[in-house]
Parts: sequence; C-alpha cells; structure tokens
Amino acid sequence: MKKLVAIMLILGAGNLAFSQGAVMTKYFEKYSSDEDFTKVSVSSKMFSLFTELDANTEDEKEFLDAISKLKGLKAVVGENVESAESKRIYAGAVADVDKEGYEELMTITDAEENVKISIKENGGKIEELILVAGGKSKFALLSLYGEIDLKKISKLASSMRVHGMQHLRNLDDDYEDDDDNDRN
Amino acid sequence: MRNTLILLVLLYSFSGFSQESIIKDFAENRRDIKVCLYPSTLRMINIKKDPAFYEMVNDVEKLLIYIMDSGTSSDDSYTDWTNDYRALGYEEYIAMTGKVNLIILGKEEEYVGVSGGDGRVAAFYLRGAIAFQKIPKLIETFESGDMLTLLQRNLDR
Repeated sequence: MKKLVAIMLILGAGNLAFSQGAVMTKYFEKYSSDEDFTKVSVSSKMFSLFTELDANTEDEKEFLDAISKLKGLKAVVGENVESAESKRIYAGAVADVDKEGYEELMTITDAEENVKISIKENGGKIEELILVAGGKSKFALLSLYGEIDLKKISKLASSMRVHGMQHLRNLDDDYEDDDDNDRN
Repeated sequence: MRNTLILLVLLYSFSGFSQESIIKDFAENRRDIKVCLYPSTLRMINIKKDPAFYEMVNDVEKLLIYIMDSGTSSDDSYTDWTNDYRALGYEEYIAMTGKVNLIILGKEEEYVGVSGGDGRVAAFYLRGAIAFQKIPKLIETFESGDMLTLLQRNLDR
C-alpha cells in the first residue's frame, strides 16, 4: 500500500512539473523552425553563476538576490508578425495559460499592446510567472520559474533585454500600492 | 594497482582529447580564424597588468576560439555538433534560436558554445575554471582593444 502511495506521489509530482511548462513547451515546439520567432532558454546553471558576482550598489544586490533564486527563464518572441496574426496568437496563448490554471495578476490593454501577467503559486510562494504580450507586429510569451519575489521582479525587468519584460516593471508599483493599502 | 592507475590516467587523457575533438571536427575544416589561448598567452593579453584580469583567467587551461567561414552560416545545421556534447552530459546554460543562435553548454570545468547570426558564426571551447565575477573586467579589455590588437598582430604574421 505504502509503495502504491509513493508511486502515485511520484507520478503526481511528474505531472505537476510537466503541466508547469506545458504552455512554454507547446509554443517552443510550434515555432521551433520559424526564424521570425526567437526562442530563449536560460537554465538554473546560468542563474547560479550570478551568485558569484560582486554587488557594488544596493540595486545590484537586489538584482543578484532576485536572479539567484530563479531556476529558469524561457521566452518565445515573435517580431514582424502581422497584426491579425499577432492578435490570434495572443488570444490563443492567453487561453492556454488560463486552461493550465494560472492565476491572473495583471492585464494591460492599450492601443499598442495587450499584456497579461499570470502566476502559479505553491504553498503561498510564487513558483512561476508567465507573461503574454501581443502588439501590432510583436508577440511575446515569457515564463520565469523558481522562487519569485514580486517586490524584486522589476529589478530583473530593468536589467534583462527580453521583449515583454519591460511590462514587469509595473508589478513593483502595484505591489507597493497594495502594501500601502494594507497598511492603511 | 599501478596498472589500474595507468589505465585511469590514460582513460582520463583520452576522454579529454575526445571531448575537445568534437568541436575540432566541426570547426577545423571550415574556419576563417582560429585562436588558441593558453595561460601564458592569456597573460600576454593583459597589457595593462590588471590584477582582476589575472584572477579571472588564472585557472583557465585552454581557450579555443573559431570564427567560421561564410559558408558555415548559410547551413542551418551549424549548431548540430553541440548535441554530441549534450550526449556526453554537458548541461545547457543558455540556448537561443531564431534569426540569431546562441548555445552555451558546460560540464564540470569544460565549456563549449556557438553563436551565429548576420552571416557570422563563432564557436569556442574553454577548459578550466573562469572567475565569472571578473567578467566585467574582460569586457573592459575587449572594449579597450587590447585583445583585438593582440589577435590582429597574430593574424598579420
């Protein structure tokens, strides 16, 4: 009986890990041979190198602290995508993210670009943040996983030159506003 | 016992050779430029005698840099050889594919990588440990042109 429970737990953990990356895997495979879509994958090995860097300023310290807790980053970025196509891909990606049970954190809708940021929590900790952005000629799907601190995420957004990450800067302001409201 | 030790040393030497040979098999016949740097040549690059640069390259045993010929970039398969390293247990640090490609893999104290885009392909092999916290100093060296000057001097010979 114990053996059966253990096997079920292992299989369950396997499924959880798979579903975490299911959206990214789908889009990586879908655009694997399309050169107009850049696929980026940064592993925990790369992030672990940052722990060896020396921080000179408080900003650098916060950046290194945030980045050292990440286990990976994956992104699919499409450029020169037709407007109608971009809207279609964006809507499809948002639906895929929702279907996988991510919790909506923020949406931005303006004339230039639609953005939706969602998270997946485990035991009160954010373990994955997924961002979908669709504009007139651009599309971005970005996933950060590991131990994610929303207060520090804007530091990463300012330092990484990946399309879509600039929207994460808004999280810092929103998070601080929420903190202020909680205090009041 | 002594025979076992000799066998282990031979196996280790052979495995080191074969792992370097994968990049050589890919690059040697289609390169425009090859730069091979050892601790002594790495120290020569440091014209300004910057101690941080010494610290960074102190444990680098060998660095091979290949700039590939123009024909290589027109063939989409120029990153395929990295799969042979993956099969040997090299782990991925970063992978980027699209119009620009970049792959960096590493295992213990060996790193290999390839980058391509805009008609240019470059590949590298590094054996040894590199002090990553000193990399900004390496970038400064590149920017000041010290390394480029040295490379140019070698190419002109």
